[in-house]
Amino acid sequence: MKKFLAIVLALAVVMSLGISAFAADKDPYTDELRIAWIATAATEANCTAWGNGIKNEAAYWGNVTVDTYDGEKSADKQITLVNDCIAQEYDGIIIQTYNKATLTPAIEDAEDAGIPVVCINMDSDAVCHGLVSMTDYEAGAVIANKIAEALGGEGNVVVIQATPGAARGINLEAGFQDALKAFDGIKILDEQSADWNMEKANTTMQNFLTSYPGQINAVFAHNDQMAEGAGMACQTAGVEGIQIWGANGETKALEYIEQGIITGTVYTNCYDQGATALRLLMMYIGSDVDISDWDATPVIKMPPITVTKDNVDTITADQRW
Amino acid sequence: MNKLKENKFVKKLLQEKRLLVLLALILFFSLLLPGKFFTANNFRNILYSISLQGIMICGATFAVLLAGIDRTVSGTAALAGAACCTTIVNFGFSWQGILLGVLLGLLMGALSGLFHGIVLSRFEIPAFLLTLATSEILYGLVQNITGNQLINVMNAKAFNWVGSSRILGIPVPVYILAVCFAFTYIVLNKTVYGRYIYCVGGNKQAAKLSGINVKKVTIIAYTISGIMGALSGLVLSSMNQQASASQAKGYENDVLAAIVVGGVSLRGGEGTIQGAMVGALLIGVLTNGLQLLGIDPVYHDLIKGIIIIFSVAVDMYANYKKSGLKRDGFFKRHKKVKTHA
Repeated sequence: MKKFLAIVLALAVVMSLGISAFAADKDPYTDELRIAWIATAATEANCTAWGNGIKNEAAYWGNVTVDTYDGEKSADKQITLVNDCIAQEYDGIIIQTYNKATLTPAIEDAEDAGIPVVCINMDSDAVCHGLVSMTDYEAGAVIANKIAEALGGEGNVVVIQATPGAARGINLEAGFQDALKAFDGIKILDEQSADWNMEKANTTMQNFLTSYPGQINAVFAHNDQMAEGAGMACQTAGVEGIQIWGANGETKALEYIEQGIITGTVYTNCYDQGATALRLLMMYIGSDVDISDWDATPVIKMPPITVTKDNVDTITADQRW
Repeated sequence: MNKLKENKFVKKLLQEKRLLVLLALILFFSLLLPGKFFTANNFRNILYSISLQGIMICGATFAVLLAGIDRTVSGTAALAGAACCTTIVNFGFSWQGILLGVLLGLLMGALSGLFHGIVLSRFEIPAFLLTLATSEILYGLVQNITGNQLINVMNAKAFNWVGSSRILGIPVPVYILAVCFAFTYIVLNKTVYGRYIYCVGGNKQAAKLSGINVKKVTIIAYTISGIMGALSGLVLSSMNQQASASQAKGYENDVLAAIVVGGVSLRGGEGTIQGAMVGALLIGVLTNGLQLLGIDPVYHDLIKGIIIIFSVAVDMYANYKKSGLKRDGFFKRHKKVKTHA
């Protein structure tokens, strides 16, 4: 029995060494490389845009194949997918984690197996090769300043929040609240969650209009879909003059800004974000970089662009997602 | 008053003990939110918020009454929305494109329902498993049709009119819900087919032996469910002016919750569409009341769960009282039974 255990242990060590050496041994310019892109939900517009950005960048390299996996908004599913990618000896993983804490061991395992991991927008508590993120805290602050500026420092705001506990929602909210501290005349009347969902945001906004008739001056929604829902509710109710802000910058939100249904959003070029993630990963593949003594994951923040009716035409068709 | 009591519809409605819970909730929120909750404007909002699920409920109730289940209402809705919006875009937002898109969407729903009906009536596959699997297939199809992109139909004004307009101050989706409700009520209560549904749902073998064409009843029920699911998907796309690959995902749980809260038995053959609609209203009123009270969203699900259990318990107790059975206490039931050797 002891002999058997020793053999199993030795095999495990040899196999782990083999896997560890796998990615580092490859030449990113000549060898065929397989990259896994694990989205939180492949059906979301931003995930599709990131995926397209990654694939477009891969096409420039010529030797890189990208396989897309759908996390189906489930941390468990993502853990399984990461483990599958380790078993299939992928050369790199790009992932948008659904849950920071839950994905930590899986990402640690991938890094231990010598597969570099780059996260998009959401990382884990494990130190990995990089995080390419939209700005969220800063975006919240920008929106607060824009609203305060438009209202002249006096007015009432309602917030349509993300699903409770979502990190992006928490960060956007923190930036928004902190920036509003500089404006005593701006009051948050109410905050309710609409689960990132357009039709729920529509109903939530209708309820806000019922609760605070004639009192709402501005709406801050944690994403564009909810801002669009709020815009629809105001349009249906015949209420005008409310500042409605979203975040992300999806195509439909830009069209709503053009039509005056919503006021603005903080746009991020998701194609560019996806491409940046792959570029970063390619830099690490075959390199001697050792992350074992890193204390934290390096972060690249994508430049946020504040979009209103005045500059929406600067976001060209090929940049819209 | 007597005349009112004699009215079968009102009589059935009064039998719904959940209706009393609903009225109590309305009274409760009205007292807590004077001038805000009990207004025509707010009730319009509540009806608007339940209109989508309401349309799905009208269809899914047929399946549940047959002791089955249709978990594909949301998948069908997504498929219908995607097929319709893609057609509208391909036809350049013309009225011909809109008409064709709507018809294609409804056809998708009918075909989906027909498929479920045929498979369920031919093979002994549990409806839960079949519709769970086909739900995945339907969302897979939607992903293929949309390419995981938003299909934007902002420019199809006539199509979007349905989701964003009002007639006499009431949103158009509420009228569509009313028509679906009336259709379901009439079919279940005023037609021979309606009686067959209850018979088959209550006892399939007995229904078969008494000459009812069980297969035909099942196929029609699931086809109606499919068409209603598709209709709600079209309304949703019109409301959102878009179709997306994850549209309506998770709605099937809300629909099922409302149906069960509304007293429709999952064992089949028992329950009414009025009850199911009261269930939907109960959940709608609760969500609305909690939001108007400004209660932190992290408590919403908790409070909703408790009220739902309470309302079901009230109804079960009322049914138990009506049955005339004697109540057995918990401890009494668990007393040791003396046995004589």
